[in-house]
Amino acid sequence: MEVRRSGLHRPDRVHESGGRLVVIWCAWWAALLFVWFLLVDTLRFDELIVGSVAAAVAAAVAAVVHRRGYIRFSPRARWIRQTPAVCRGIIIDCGKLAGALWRRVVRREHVEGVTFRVPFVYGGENGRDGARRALVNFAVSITPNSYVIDIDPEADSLLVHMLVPGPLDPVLTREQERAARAMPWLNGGDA
Amino acid sequence: MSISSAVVVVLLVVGVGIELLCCIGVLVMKDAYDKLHYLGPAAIVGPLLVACAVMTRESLSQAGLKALFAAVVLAIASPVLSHATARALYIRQRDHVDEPPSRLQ
Amino acid sequence: MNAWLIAATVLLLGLVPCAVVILRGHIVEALVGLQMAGILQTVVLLLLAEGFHRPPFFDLALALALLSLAGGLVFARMLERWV
Repeated sequence: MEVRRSGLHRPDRVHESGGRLVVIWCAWWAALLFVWFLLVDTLRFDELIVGSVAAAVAAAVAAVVHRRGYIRFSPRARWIRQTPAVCRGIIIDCGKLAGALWRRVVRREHVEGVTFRVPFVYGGENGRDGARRALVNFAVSITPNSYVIDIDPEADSLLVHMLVPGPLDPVLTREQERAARAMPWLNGGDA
Repeated sequence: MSISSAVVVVLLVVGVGIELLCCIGVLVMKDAYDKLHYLGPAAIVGPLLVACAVMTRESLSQAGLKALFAAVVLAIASPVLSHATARALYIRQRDHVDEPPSRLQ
Repeated sequence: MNAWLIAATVLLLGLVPCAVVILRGHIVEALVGLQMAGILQTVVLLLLAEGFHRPPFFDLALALALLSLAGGLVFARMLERWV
């Protein structure tokens, strides 16, 4: 079988100022030190030293990864307002999956999911669009009845699989509306 | 039996029940795309209920926080793994490593 | 024997359908079965930690959760083209 290269490429370096890199390092160091103390459950001085050193090394690695441009993630704070809807979706979808399992096991019905494309504005290779792609993918995939198979940058679409066919969840609906505004030719409008 | 013990038992029964039902779902569903859906409740709801049972017993001690942390890690990992696995299958079918199902667009 | 250990024992039965899927299914279905088994074992470790009153088992459960994520991603990546 022919072996194909993965096609990985080195992204462009992020031109961060020294001050901003220090802020990034400090933020990672503080968060990791907090997690360290959460896990060791003691505030002894020797644990403080060991935790500080471990957090410093890990924060340095995170800052280097950030500077290399491998992670471009700059979400908007207001996106967190979607969290209650996503949590509701998780509960509702668990019920849908239970129903599908009931139909499959008890009533011996044929249950098969559907795959479909949703128009989606791919955007650019910047932190804001990257965060939007990642969080839309996460929000759609965390609700059990649906997940994203693929994000197509050329076709500006999401390939989504849904086990129990039904209306799109609010995140997908919003992205579909955004795509309709950005690409009116999809609905037969002028380019 | 105290109220907290009763709450713990209920949380354990429901949590374990959800896990076992999801295992049955993974077994009986038709293909990998359909099976993947049942990883969601197994990774999100089941562990969260078990972590809540641990926290009911241990409150916000180290044990309770670690159980909650493990449940949160599973919940965050689930959609990532579902997407990665589905994408792997899609690429295999697109590149003709496997035969695509007729219903795949 | 307490409720936690009984729950862990019952939950181990869930490994049987996972094993059936892994042994009999397509290779990607086997990965799904493996991921489900990883989730089950993390929950089993949480239950055993509380049942035996052994706090270090919680660290095992946390480590397994993190490593299952990393391992699943590696398997998925390999299955795209190289297996």
